[in-house]
Amino acid sequence: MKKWIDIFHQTLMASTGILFLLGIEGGIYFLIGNGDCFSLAWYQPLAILLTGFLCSLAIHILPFDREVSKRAWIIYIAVHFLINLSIVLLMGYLAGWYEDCVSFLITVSFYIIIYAFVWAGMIWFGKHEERIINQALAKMHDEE
Amino acid sequence: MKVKIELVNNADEQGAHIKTTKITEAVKQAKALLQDGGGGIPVFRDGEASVCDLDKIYYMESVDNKCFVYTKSECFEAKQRLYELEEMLDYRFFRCSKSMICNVRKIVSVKTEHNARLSAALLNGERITINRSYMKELKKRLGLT
Repeated sequence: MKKWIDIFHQTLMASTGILFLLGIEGGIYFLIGNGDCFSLAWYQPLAILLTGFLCSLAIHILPFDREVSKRAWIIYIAVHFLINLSIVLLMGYLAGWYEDCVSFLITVSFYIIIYAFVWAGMIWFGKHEERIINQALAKMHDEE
Repeated sequence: MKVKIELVNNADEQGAHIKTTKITEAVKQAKALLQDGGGGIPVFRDGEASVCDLDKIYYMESVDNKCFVYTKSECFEAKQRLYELEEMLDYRFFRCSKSMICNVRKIVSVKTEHNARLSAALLNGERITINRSYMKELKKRLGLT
């Protein structure tokens, strides 16, 4: 059950990241006076959710509960990055997110920004959790 | 709840009187702790049996189907399996990985490792690893959930 809750959270996080950047793209169109040019086809929200879901499945290749060296962890992250990029590019191809070289590069750039955003969020959350736990431990631990 | 401690000279005068509107888990644990002085578990070392006070236990680990109990500077063997020991322990102990149970009172601080696991520094200077999937248990023991 916990695994599915994690997948659900990851799906929401990735989909929110894509929607956030789409919102920025729409805002840019509006600011340059081409707001009417920005529209989404009926299947795009579903494509975004499906992309988020597929990307969330890929996180399970990461060895969160296993002893791995820092170097091995970096290799795992690189593989995870490439798997997710392949998912985004495949879904982008099927949903028509890119048609030429420029839109392809924009899609890849968006992916890199979202990927960095999600990891930054996770690191921040981890540090925040660590601080709260340490504060609670300081009040509770025995004295030797 | 207000807690008042009064020092007495005679052991016979020792006692506790808890006034509460509801018998909560904390009240039950406080009663058990006061009654049996924290309890202990049977352990062995060099063929000699003894009882290890729960207060002294830092962590317990299962290695090759054997269970070991670690105190500040000593290591004992327990005849029970880890899941059996878990049933004998109180609220201070939590499962921190598949093969380890830790006493939360012996943890000084935690640090996030590169793969999102927590490295915990114990009072005796040792470090143990808390798996991400058991974080909820630790937070529960600390009253954070």
